Amino acid sequence: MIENNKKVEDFLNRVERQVYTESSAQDIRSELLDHIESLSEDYKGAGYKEEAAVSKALLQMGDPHEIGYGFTDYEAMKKRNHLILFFKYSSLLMLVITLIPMFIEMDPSSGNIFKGDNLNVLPNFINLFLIIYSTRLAMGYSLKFLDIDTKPFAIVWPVKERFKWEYLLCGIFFLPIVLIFLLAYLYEEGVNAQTILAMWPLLTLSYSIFAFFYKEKFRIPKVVLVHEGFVIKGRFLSFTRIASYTWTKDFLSKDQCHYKLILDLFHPQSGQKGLKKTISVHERQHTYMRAYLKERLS
Amino acid sequence: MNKELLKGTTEVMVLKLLKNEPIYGYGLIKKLDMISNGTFKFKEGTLYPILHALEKKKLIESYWDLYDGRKRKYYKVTDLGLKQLVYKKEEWLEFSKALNGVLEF
Repeated sequence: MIENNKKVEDFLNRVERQVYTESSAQDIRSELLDHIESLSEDYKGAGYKEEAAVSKALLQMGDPHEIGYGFTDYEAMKKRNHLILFFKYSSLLMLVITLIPMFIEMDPSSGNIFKGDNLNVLPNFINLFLIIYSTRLAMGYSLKFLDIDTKPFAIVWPVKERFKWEYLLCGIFFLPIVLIFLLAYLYEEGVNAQTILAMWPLLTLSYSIFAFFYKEKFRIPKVVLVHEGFVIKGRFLSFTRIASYTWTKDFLSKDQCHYKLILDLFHPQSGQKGLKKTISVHERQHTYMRAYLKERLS
Repeated sequence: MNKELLKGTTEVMVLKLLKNEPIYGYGLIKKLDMISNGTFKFKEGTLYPILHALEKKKLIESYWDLYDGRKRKYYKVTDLGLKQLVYKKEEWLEFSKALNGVLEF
């Protein structure tokens, strides 16, 4: 099978790593595989041997990085920003809903609202702990806006990798347990406002796990090159802040084909030099990036 | 063929090629090559992003089928795509008529 051919696999991996979401990446991979297979069959029909036909087909396909970049979905990047906003606001709303019963209680006989005195009660402590934990998850450090106004000029490798084992652990193992526990509790106690309120921390936890892993679907490129500068992990770095730069070869990288771009930056307030930023660039993009930076920064 | 001349025409060409029958990516490249006697050639790196963009705009839709034991993705034009094709064709005819008028002046 051509699928197991190392050259083909390498080509498809290179394309796939530029594609924005996991599901699209799989889709594109299968589609391109059929294309390469059809092309190499045509070459074989023209008299080429198996390996030569595959090589010719790959040559005709062109630069995998360029093909992958063609799929850059700028609209999806913007959608990701909307998704982040949704997570932030919904986490805030959940925080408020959890906090209200901790401070305010209702007298069941008169219906009057008064200030609660159960701040030290253990369930509320668990509530508070969970809400801080889940808010942290949903609003966590990896939720960065990709703040770019125009279509990026280049996406610099490596893009964020996927964490399949985490999907497995939480998607298959953990969440169903939480949900079964929830259903069993509701079945035992009956569905009413009190039981739902008692389940709130668990619902919050389930939500936060869902939010955390759902956002992982939308991969964010670590470094994006735009016409005015870099966007590194969602934060814009203008070319005007770069005092100088150097290239070094990254011999510690696993496949030894990474270069390190070390940027010497001006401090945003004092204007003094001294801040450094290192970007890992794959050798496939090295020549191209080097030429571009030379043009822009010399 | 000058690339600048081709800008903006790929979409209408893809819609037209898909009008009569569902086709897969490589088939589209071959069909265009044959119809245009080799004048127009889609590059792999250009075609697939265009197909995916058209699908997002709901101008075409896709489905997977099996061919010779392997998965193959076919594309077909939607009703919205057909309307867009009529509109684009009229737009192109108007444009070429005006351009011819200028060139023959």
